[in-house]
Amino acid sequence: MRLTKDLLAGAFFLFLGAGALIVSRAYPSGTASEMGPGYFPHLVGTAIAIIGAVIVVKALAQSGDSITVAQWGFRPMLLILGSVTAFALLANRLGLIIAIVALVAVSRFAARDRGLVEFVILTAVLIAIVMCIFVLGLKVPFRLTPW
Amino acid sequence: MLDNLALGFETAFTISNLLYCLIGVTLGTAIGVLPGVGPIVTISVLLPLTFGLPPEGALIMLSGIYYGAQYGGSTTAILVNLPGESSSVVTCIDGYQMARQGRAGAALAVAAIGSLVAGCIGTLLLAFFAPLLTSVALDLSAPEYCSLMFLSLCCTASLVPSALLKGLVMALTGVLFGMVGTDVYSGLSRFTFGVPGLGDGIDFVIVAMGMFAFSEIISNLVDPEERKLLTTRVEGLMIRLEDLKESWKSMLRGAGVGSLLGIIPGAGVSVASFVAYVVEKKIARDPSRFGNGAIEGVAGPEAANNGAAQASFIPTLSLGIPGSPTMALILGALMIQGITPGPDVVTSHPKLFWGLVVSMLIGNVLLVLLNLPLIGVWIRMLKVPYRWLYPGILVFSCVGILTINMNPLDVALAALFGLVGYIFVKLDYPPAPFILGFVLGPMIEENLRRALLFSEGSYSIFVTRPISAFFLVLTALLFVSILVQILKGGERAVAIGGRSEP
Repeated sequence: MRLTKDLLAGAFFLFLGAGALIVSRAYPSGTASEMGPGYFPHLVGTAIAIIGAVIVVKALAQSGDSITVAQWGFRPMLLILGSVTAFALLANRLGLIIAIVALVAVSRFAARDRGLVEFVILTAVLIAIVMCIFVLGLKVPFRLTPW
Repeated sequence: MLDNLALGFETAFTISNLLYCLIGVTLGTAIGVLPGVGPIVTISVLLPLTFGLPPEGALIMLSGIYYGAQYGGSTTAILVNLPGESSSVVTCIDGYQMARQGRAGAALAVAAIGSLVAGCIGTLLLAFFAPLLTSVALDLSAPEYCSLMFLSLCCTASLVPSALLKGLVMALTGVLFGMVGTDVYSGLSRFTFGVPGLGDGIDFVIVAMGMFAFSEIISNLVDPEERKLLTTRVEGLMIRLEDLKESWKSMLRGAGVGSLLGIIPGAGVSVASFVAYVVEKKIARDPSRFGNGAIEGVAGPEAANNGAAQASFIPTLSLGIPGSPTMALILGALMIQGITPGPDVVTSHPKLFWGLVVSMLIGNVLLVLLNLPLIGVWIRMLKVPYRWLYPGILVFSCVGILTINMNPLDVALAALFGLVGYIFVKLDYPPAPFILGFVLGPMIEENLRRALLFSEGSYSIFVTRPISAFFLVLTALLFVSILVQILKGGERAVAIGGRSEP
């Protein structure tokens, strides 16, 4: 058995559908004429699980290329999502400006680009634009600085 | 009609709305030209900015981005042989050949004029048909809506026919995520897992930013696009009379094809341009010219994609049913403004609707002015490296999400959706049906509940009511045609018309 894209995805949807069914067991189903909060989730969960199962069966029947982890681009993925998470962690603690600097700094490693001058200019321009639009224009009450 | 148009002119010609229109179409052209930034990403990123705008301004600007991108996309297709947007894929074929033969100016001009013609026709159709459909739609009730939304979901899911199951399961997953939050009828929290912030549901903007903006940035960084500019000087932008003589019929045919396909939910702008190309090739006296710089091969598809872009507003505004992910975003923007989508938008918000119609006419004229005389500016923009762009998109997205609730957890949630979206893309599962399911899901549940209450629990109501049955027959026909296509092994259409839809 080879781990193909469809096998992985099919299994995921099978579990997602089944999981939705299990979680939504706690919601009363009601009857068709008086749908309870669980009626629609049961319907959708079942459909997802069935399609997931069909995809799994099809994937097992057909031969496909195994997933090669090398092509997944973990580096940009981790750096981009990491930079966003860093922004989320810093925005309220140290203020918006430092959060933006961190966001740009971390995300720029994803393009393997480390020119310092470019980084400084880019960050300064972005901070200036954000200041003009959100702070001066829309007057959003951000915490800007750590103090 | 005249009163309404007068109201539209009054609305669209205020200084602020003209400005929003100009910003929208300029941004649209820019993202059409810029690498790796499409209308879905741009509209997602700008959604939080529209919170503070009046509804007319927000809609005028976001719409301008959408149809503006159809203009900009052709510039890259012709000059770099890369589609700026997926709707310009077929423009590459003959447009690039024309450019290689030194006729880049003629190709650009024909694309822009074709887009203008089709844009105006599409807008007039919108002005004519949306109110008409609205009066029909007022007679529709829950069962019809339910079937129509089901049709809409299936159309979008089948955009890549060979991957129908993938599209369907993604749409259903979107519906499932749309359920997160408090059920309006019972007050019960569903799928919130005790997380307090999820009680009001997942904000639509967060899903859109994560699934489209973040995951697209990662994809673009993994597979960087090579850009080789054919020429930096474009001459002969003044279209010759013979070029126009050769292509005006194609423009009109393209406009027709595009407007027709734009109205159908799920078909979208890429399919429209592809079909228009096939039509031109079929009726040409000498089909062998196609692929070697046939001017009709540029005029037809470029007219079609713009016509479809305008026409896709018809179902969105008159029925409240978005035909494509971009329209789902526009609908989401309306909901943020407190406007409930549905057949009464045209009648109860006439300023909004007619203002939009007139702004589209203005916008299309502005786009020709932007695209032809200012072509030099856009050519320079073609070479802006992606490494300058994506940090900007990230900063705008993150700050934008933060403004919704001032809650950094929202930003982290968007990162999570970015991860999920990227994994789906890597597994070849299209994210577009997901966002449509996410928006339509609550409406489907609501209408299903009403329909079944009315029929006392019998599902036969969906087939005994003629209009509802009609929609279901269309859905069945769609499935049958896909099955036939797969059995015939006809995946050629998919190879060109596929890819995710803006």
